[in-house]
Amino acid sequence: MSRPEDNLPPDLFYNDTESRKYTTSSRIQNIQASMTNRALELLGLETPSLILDIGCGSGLSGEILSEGDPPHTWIGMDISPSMLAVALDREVDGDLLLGDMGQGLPFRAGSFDAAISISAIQWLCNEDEKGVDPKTRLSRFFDSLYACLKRDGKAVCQFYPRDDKQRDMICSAAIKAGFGAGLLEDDPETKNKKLYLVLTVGGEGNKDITGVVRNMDGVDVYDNRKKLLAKAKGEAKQGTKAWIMKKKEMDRRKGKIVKSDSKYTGRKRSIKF
Amino acid sequence: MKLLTANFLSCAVKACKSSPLSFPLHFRDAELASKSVPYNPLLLSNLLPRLDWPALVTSSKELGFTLPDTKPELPRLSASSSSATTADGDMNMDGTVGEENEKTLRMLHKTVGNFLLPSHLV
Ligand SMILES: C[S@@+](CC[C@H](N)C(=O)[O-])C[C@H]1O[C@@H](n2cnc3c(N)ncnc32)[C@H](O)[C@@H]1O
Repeated sequence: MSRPEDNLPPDLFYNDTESRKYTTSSRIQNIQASMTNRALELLGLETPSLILDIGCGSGLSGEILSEGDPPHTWIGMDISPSMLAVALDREVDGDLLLGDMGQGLPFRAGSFDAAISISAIQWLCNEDEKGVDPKTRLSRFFDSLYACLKRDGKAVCQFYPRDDKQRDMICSAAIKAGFGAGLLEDDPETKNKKLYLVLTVGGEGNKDITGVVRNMDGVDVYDNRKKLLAKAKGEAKQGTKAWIMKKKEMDRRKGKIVKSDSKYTGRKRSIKF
Repeated sequence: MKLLTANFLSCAVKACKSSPLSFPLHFRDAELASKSVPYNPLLLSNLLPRLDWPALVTSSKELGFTLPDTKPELPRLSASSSSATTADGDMNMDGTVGEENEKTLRMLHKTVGNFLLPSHLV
């Protein structure tokens, strides 16, 4: 399957023709609606909330938010003027902004109860037109997303990574920003496979990311965290050179005076009487 | 752009983010249109604590109408539904928004605010 992400920047790919074609396709309408409903289910919002829709396009995802039970209020941001123009024509309820998520989100801290992004963040895996690399764009995006959600807030991003490498690059950028993160995969190993990155901002109700799916049917949980933690520990076993170097680095950062490193640092010493 | 949205927007220009002037954005030459929205007390009670009321008052003045100087309590808000719907704000505006030090003016085109930054300001 050809990926538009690999060929053109988003604002050029989603031109007037493509935006109209995209929005009027009933196949696409159905897929976007069902993915947005899944995202809403993962958010589990019980009161009418303020939601940010990132890469809102022509509003196919947003209108599901307006029609939700309870109905939510949303603000949408997209980089494609043509997509936004279609959204205006369709008189969606959400308020629309033209912007590039890879530049960071322009909201004050703690603004939103939740955020969704449906089929958009894989676009961040490409350089932008100015040659800014994906890592920088991903961290600008996730850092600013983290900040503009309120404590206890959640975000769900459905996305289409090209491969496992892209998937991991996106996930680690989210974790680095401070989110609790989990990946939900629907219809795994089929061509309809759908990937949802579930993100939580620290707070009472959000202590454990697996809590998000606790009451959902047919979801198996694979908890990777213990393994990751053990791996991180294993990497610097006490007494090894790596461990000593890390300690020294930490002390240095605290402003302590630390002996300079040499080839003798952390060497094995023979026993002497 | 809706009044409510403006209350959550802040200037994203790197050099401005830490400045107190980066919020609120100011409206200039804005044309106001209002549309009534269904009164939604649950949404309002959820949002009210997060609204920056002084900023909302500033925005409303720039747009030529007035809000009470202090944030209304919700019970009162539900009674005076006019300020309630104003806060829920289906105000559509054309014009520009920008911050105080006027580094950037954002065009509002058919109600859509332009927040794309030239790369040297990111
Ligand atoms: C497949 S469409 C999905 C639109 C909508 N969420 C839906 O479900 O129909 C992907 C959208 O992401 C937007 N997009 C891509 N890169 C973006 C960026 N850097 N900032 C904001 N939006 C972006 C595109 O313009 C496009 O409208």
